Order: sequence, then C-alpha cells, then structure tokens
Amino acid sequence: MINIIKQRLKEQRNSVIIYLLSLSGYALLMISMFPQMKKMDIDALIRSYPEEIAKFFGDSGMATYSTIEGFISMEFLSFFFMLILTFYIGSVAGTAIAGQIEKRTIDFNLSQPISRTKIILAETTTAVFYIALIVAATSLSILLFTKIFNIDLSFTGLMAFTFMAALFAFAHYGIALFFSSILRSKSTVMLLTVGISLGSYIFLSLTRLIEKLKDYADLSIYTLYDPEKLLKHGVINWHQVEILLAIFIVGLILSTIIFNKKDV
Amino acid sequence: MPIIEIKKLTKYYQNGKILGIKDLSLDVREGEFFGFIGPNGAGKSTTIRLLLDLIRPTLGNALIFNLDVNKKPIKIKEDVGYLPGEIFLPDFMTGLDCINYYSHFKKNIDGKYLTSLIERLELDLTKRISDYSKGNKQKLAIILAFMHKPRLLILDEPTSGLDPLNQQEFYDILKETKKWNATAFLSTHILSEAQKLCDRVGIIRNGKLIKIEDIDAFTEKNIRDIIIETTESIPLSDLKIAGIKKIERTTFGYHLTTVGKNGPIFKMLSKFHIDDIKISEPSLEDLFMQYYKEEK
Repeated sequence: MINIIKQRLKEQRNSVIIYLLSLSGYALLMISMFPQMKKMDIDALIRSYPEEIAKFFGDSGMATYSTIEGFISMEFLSFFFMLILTFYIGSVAGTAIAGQIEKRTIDFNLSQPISRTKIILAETTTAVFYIALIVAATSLSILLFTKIFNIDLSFTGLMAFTFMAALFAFAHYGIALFFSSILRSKSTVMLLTVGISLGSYIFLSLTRLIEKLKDYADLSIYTLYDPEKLLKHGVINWHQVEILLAIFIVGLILSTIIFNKKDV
Repeated sequence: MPIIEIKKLTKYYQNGKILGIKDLSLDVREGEFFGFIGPNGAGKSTTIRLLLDLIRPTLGNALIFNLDVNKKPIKIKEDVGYLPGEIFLPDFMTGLDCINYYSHFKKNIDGKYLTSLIERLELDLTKRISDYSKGNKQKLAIILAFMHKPRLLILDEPTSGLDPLNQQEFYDILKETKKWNATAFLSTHILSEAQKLCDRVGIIRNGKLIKIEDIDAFTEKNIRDIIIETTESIPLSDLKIAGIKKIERTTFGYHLTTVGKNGPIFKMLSKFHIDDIKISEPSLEDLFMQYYKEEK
C-alpha cells in the first residue's frame, strides 16, 4: 500500500505544484487589489442594488467588500477556490477507479497481490494529503500576502477556514470517489463532480433570490461552507464538521463496497 | 494436487444477456503447461479474468493452490505471474519505474534472474512506456510476469506483438521455468505455439470447453491445410485417401484439410503435374469442425 501511495504522490506532484502556484497567484492578485477596492466603496454600489440582488452576493448581503474577510471570500474562497479544487478532486477520484478501468491499467494492477480495499485506501490517502496541502498552502499564502500588504486578518479565523475548507473538499472527494466506483470514465466523474458542486452553489444562491426555494437551502452542500463567517469569527460549527465527515466516510465506504463487487 | 481446479465455471455478462463461458471444468496439474486454445471471443480471456478475480463468476468456482480465487485472491496472487496479450501500464512511467513499482508487490525477487531477463530480452528500461512499441511493451510484460519466479504463470496470448526472435526467446524463458516446477496456463490461438509448449490442451469455442487432450494425441492429429496449385483435374476417386477430411475446388487447384501423416497424399499427387503446394496450420474453425465430428 505504501508503494502505491509513494507512486501516486510522485505522479501528482507536478500538477499539485501547478494548482498551488495558480491558487497562490490568484490570492496574491486579490489581496493586492483589496486596499484599492476598499477605497472605491463597492459596498455603497451594492447597497444601491435591489435587496434581492444584494443578497445574491452572500449570506450577510450588504457591506462585505469593505472587510478583507468579505472581499477575499466573495472574490476567491467562496466559489472560485473551491471550483478549482473540485477539478483536482474530480481528476484524482476519477483516476482512482474509473480512469484505471477506462485505460485498462486496472487489469495488471489487480493481478498483483493487493486487495481492492487497500488500493482505494492508498488512492484516498494520497488525495487527502494533497487536498489538505493545497488548502493549507493557499491559507498560508493568504496569511503571507496580507502581512505583506499590512492587512489585518485573524489567524484563528484563517485556521478555522483551513479546517472547514479541507473537510468540505474531503466531502467532495467522497462524492467523486462514489461516482468513480460506479462509472467507467474519468472525464464523466470530473464533469459530474464539478457539475454537482457548481449546481449546488448556484442553487444556494437562487434560494436567496427566490422565496419559494428558501426552505430548501439546506439541500446545497455550500450551506456547510461559509468562508466569510469562518474568517471573521473563527468559530467552527461542529455539526457541520460531522456532516462533512459523514459525506466523506459514506462515500469512501460505498465506493469500497462497490469496487470490491465490481467486474473490471 | 492440481494447481488450478475449475468447477462448472459460468460467466454471463450484462445480466445474463451475453455468455462468457458455460459449465467450464478442468484441472491443471503441478508442473504442467496447459494450453487453452480458441478463437477470439471463445471465452479464453473470460476464464483468465475469472482466475485472476478481475470478474466474478455467475456460477461455479475456481481454486488455485487449493484456495478459492474469490476468497483468497491476495494469497494466490503472491505466487502468480500474469502476462496479458496486451499490457496497459501508466504511460508516464519508464520501464525501470514499472519494474521497481511492481516488484514491491512481490516477495523474493531474484535480482540475478531479473537482470538476466532484461538482458535476454534486450529491453531499454530508460524509455517511457508511451515510447515503447507493442513488442517492447510485451517484453516488459514478460519481465514483470516472470521476475518473481512464480509457481503459476497465467499467460493470455503471450507472444502477440513479439517478433519471431523474441518469440523464441520467450519460449526458452518459459521452458526454463520447469526448473522450479512452474505451472503454466496459456491461452493462445496459435496451434504451433501450443504444440511447442504445452503438455495438454483444452479447446474452447463459444464459451464451452469442447475437449481436453494430451499434446501427443493433439499433435498426432497433425491437422493441416494443403493448398495445391495445378491446372490438371484430379479425379475425386484419387482424393479418397484416409486422412483427407475436406476437399474444396479453388480457382487455382484444390484446398485440402488433412489429418495425420500426409505421405499417401503426396504419393498420389506425384502422379499429376503440380505447380505449387502450400502446407499450413488449419484455421481454428477447421480444427473445431474436426473435433465436433469426433464428438458425434
């Protein structure tokens, strides 16, 4: 199993570096823009919009651009960061089972004396490590750039965000791995994972705009992830932690059961 | 003790719509080289995939080393070398990466033996898999299958993609595994390959095992296709010789399918003006027809 983990870490290293550089670069761009944006008083502009449209910008609705927590959440962490991360998650989870079946590399791998469960666990260990690394490194770069630009950002808030963002990404991995166990194409797994994440985000935004949908907001996984609140208050909602962990674990267990029964 | 015991193994695909194999039963003894002969789609690869636990049987079961292939696959695979007809490995790995990676799954790799395999097959291990030709991929597959000196070799059309020289090298490498009493289960559609390597053969068609035969009896049949080019007309009465199983008139002469020694046929042909004679192995279809007739 260690052998598979080492190999996967090596295989994914370069793409993870590209993800890290891109996300850190984007964080730098956003943070460098913040002082100027603050001066422009975007909040006043948003306040001039109808209430429904203002709500679309986030739970707190108004006055989010004037704080670094609100600005970086709105422009980076709430959606763009998670969307990019979801591409990585869809790719690695898609490769773990469906991609190997598609490329037929699974035949020779499964002819080796290793159980299917251990293969999934090795793939998951690698993915969890790199997801945590990408999230932590992005947070670290945010911390570093805010220091460089003399912007105050709560360290506790950043830690709380890092923890919840990683869990949120693990939950996405659990879903993606489940798709990988039932499908036979990596690109379909990627599309479904990104599609569900994107759809879930759009749905949550629509629940803020459409009164009839308001009661269904909890159907969106994005209700479990609010970077602005986390950065501002640094408080972790442990109920949300339990739900995200449950999604990850159920996804992992279901994928393992399905993969163990599957004809490849 | 048989190394492989297959008992009434049946596999249907797509909820019973497509038959893979049906009621297949056979034993392979320790140290034996067993040939599994059949055309594409006959069920050879299905049987091998069932033995490797890549797919699960609809009915029946199979034992390797007296262990159920579905219940103890890990224990079994420690001592199995699998050589597919076409191997799929991660494109970005080099040959050496592959050997290092897959050797970690095995115990007791004999370094000297591994080096000798690499040297004999003259494979450049620094190249990436994506840069290997089909033949070179197959050479790497041979190394990966044999490097741990397994007790059982499962070989699925092992020489596909190899040139004649490397085919011969492969045959030598396979024969040398008899030194450690290895058993081989070899699927092929090349009759001469089975005749060269195997102790017994099983003939499969449309998912059903038609016959299992000792290689001596199989070779004794000496089934051949004889293409005769002649402008002369050979009377049918002259062609009624024991051993000629099928006569076909062609544009250039005759096409015979024969069984056994061909001496009497050549003697008869010497009476006529013959432009050319080509003798080859029959198609598998002709071979199967021969076995069907015997069964009836």
